[in-house]
Formats: sequence, C-alpha cells, structure tokens
Amino acid sequence: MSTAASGTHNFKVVLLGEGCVGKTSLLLRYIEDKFNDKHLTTLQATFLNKRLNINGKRVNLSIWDTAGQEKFHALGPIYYRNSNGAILVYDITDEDSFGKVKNWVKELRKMLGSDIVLTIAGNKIDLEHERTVPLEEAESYAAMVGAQHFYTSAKLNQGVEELFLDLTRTMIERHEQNAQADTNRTSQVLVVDDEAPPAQTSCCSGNRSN
Amino acid sequence: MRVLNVLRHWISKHSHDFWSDERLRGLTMDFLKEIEGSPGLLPAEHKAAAQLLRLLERAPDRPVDLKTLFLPPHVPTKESIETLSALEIAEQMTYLDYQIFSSINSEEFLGQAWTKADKAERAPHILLMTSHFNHISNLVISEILKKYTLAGRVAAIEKWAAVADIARCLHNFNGVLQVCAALSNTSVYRLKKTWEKVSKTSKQTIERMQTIISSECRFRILRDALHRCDPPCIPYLGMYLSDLSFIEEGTTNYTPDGLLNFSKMRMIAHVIREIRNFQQTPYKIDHIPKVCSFLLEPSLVIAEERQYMLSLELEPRAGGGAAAGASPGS
Repeated sequence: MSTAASGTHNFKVVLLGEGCVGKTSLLLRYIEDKFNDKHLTTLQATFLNKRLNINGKRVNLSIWDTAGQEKFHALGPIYYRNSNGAILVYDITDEDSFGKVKNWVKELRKMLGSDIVLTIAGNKIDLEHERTVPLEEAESYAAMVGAQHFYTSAKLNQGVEELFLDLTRTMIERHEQNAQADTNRTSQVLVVDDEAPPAQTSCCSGNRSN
Repeated sequence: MRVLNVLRHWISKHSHDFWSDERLRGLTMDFLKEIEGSPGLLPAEHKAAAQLLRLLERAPDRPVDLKTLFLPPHVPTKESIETLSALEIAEQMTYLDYQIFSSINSEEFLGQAWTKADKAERAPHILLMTSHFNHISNLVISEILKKYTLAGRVAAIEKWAAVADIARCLHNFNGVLQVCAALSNTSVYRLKKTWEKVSKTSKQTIERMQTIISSECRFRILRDALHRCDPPCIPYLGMYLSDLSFIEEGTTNYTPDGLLNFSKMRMIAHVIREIRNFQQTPYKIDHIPKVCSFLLEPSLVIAEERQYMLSLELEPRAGGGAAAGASPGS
C-alpha cells in the first residue's frame, strides 16, 4: 500500500497553528502559487493534494489544513492522527502564536512519538521590522525538539517551496528507515482492530487494492 | 413606499439588527410613527408603516437567554450517564447546540472575526459554539475514563455511541462530531482491551458515523449528507469556518483595478446564506433542566492533562516498550 511496489509515497501532512498566522495563505501559495476565484468553487470538493518528484521518487502529499477550526480543540486528534509530517506555523510578530506552536509540539510528541516529522515555520517575514519572536529563541527551540525551522512569507512567496521540499525529503528518509526496521521485525507486527491502518492512508485514492 | 419596502425586508429578514440596537429601533419607530401621522401620504403607506411598527413592538420570538441557559448548574447534578437515557441526552445536546447555533449573527462570520484579538466582542456566539463543543467532547471522554472497571467503560462507550447515533437521526451533525471526536481522542482510542469488548453493533454504528464526519476531502461526505437532509439540522460549524477562511485568505477584497471584488463577496454571502437556512428551522424539543445540568456541569470534566495519565493507569502501555508504543499509526 505504501510505496515500494508502486513507487509512490503517500504522505499525510497537517498544518497547525493559531488562527491568524497565515497557514492557509501558505498552503494556497504552495498548492496553486496563484489563487483565483475559479479555483474556489472547486475547492470544496477537492482535497489539497500536491504531487512531487524528488530524485526520481514520486510523492503524493495530502495536506490537511485546520483553517478556521483552530478553536475546536477536541478535534485535534482526528486531524493529526496518522500524519507523517506536521508544519507548525507561527507569526513572527506574535509571541502567543509561537507559544501555541510549543503546545502543539508537546502534544504531537506525546501522542505520535518521534515518528512524525516536525517543521516549524516562522511566517510573515515581510513584517520583519515588527518581529517580536527572537530569531535565536525560535531556532534553538526547533533544534531542541528536533524540528526544522524555516522562515516564510506567503505574501512574497519566500521559503514556502523550500519548506515543503525539505519536509518531504525528511519524510522519505524517515519512511525508508522505518521500512528497513520493519523488515527486521515483520513477524512481530501486531494488527489491532479498530486502529486505522498506519501512516500511509491517503484521501480519495483507492489504494485498498490488495 | 420604496423606502418602506426596503425597511420591511430589513425588519423581517434581519430583525436581530433592531433588537440588538435600541437606538436603531427607536429611530426607526420614530420614523414610522411620523409616516403614520403624516397626512400627505397614501393610505397604503400608512398601513405599511403601521404593520412595520407592530413588528418592531413585538418582542422577538426567542426569549431564551443563552447566558442563563449556559450557566453551570447551582447544585451539583445527581444525574449520570446511567440514570439518563441516550435519547434524553441526545435531545438535550441538540437543544443546547441549536440554542447557540441559531443565535449566531451573520456579522460574526465576516472577516474571520472569530480568530481576531477582539473576537469576544465580534464573534461571541461562534466562540460559545466552539467552547461548548470542546466541553461536551471532554465530558464524553471523562465519563468513559471515570469508569474503573472494563465493563463500565464498555457500557459508557456503547451509551455514547447510542447518543451520537440518535444525534445523527436528529440531523445534529455537530453533536455527532462532539462524540466522535471524544471516541477518537487518544486517551480513549488507545484503550485496546476496552474496545475489544465493545459490541459489534456499537462498533458498526461508530464506524458509520466516523465515515460521515470524515474530514477527508474537506468533509465531502458530511456536505452531501447536509444537502440531502431536511431541516431542522445543525451542521458542523467548523466546516463553514474553514470555507470562509479559504475565501478570505485566498482572494483579495479589491480587484487589481481597485474595484470591490464582488465575486468574493458573493461567495461569502453564499456560505452565510447556507448557514442561515439551517438556523431558521427550530427543533421541537423541550428544555429538560436536569439533563442540561448534567451536560453543563463543569466538575464532571477531567482536565485534559489528566485524561491521558488516567488512561495510562487504566490500561498501562503494553510491554513497556517504545515510548510511542500506544500511539496508533507509525
């Protein structure tokens, strides 16, 4: 289901962060680069997917955005369950939003362990002069929790492509490591009822072929 | 007469504007009285003004005061999920949800007001809707984790599954999501031994509901269900909030030529109209205070930080292996 056979990686990525840090703009920038009215009408029906080709490896990213629903905290687990990666976005001019990122890191590490690849994005660098989250603090925090840190501006289209690319690369690495480890202990894999199939489920793709 | 027609439209479709703003109501009434008493106008105009005046004098239909309704109960509730029936719980959940849902003003949806610093003033009902959503979800989690015996937890899960199923039949999708979110919460979800004992029918019910509310494809299935069902109905608000966020962030307010981006405004209006449609058909459910006290009692809820610890106490991690051993997925 996951990869080797078809050669395509299916990864689920969640986008998390406070309400007005610009998560959605970041995503829209990445998916469409330019966004127009025509897309919006189809938006409700489609899932936000992005296909990539990295060093000959095909990757399908399903990106989940909690836009507008940040306060429905109880729904968090439904969103981040089975994610391979998470992008935690804060606004460099808003310290509270950085605090919120720390909470997410804590929760994701507790619930999903170290298998989820974390990337922290300091958004709105076009407002550099209003920065309140110190550069060193953000970077050292990211290093401490084992996350990549990127500076982005959805407005100027800076750092967005790089962020997603780096995250995808890391997810591929992580996946290959795990696959290696798995083959060593296949016989011990325990399948438990009621648990969603691990990791590589993806939306709308009929990948239950076997 | 044209002015009166505009006023009639405004008063009948958006009466809230007048009841929340005494000054506006006063001024409008003064104006209408003036018309009524002015001799130079047509009889039809006098009549129209008199009608509108009557509309403005009549108190609004919904006398329910949200603040009092949602006050935590004075005396700790004696009820529990054992003493109340699934039907009672589901109906009262729906009653409470609808009270908040129907009082959300259209303005609260504009400009992502619910995410801004002044959200408490600009979007109070959206905030109440979300905080109540989280409260009920936490209540469901707590009521399951509180049971020290496996059989007790199984019964609690089955009970809540039944509640959610009734909420589904009542077209209360918000309620379905509240319960399903709780059942998917890691603290509950990881209780493997408990889930093994949950009856097959309950599991099927839960599975069916999980499919409906699946957030995949931007709630495609839930949207279909919403469009098919007859009101009364309570949609999951977050879905619309997402749509609005995408519209707001995805398009500019003005076109490159400096004109107002009308198609954006139309899209926003479209979403709001859909919500208003659902807001307008009330449920025929009576308020049962003792059930609502149970649903609103804050002391029944275990703090979120404690839930996971309690879950670990109830069913310790198997094998004491990897730190992430209990978490689902990879």
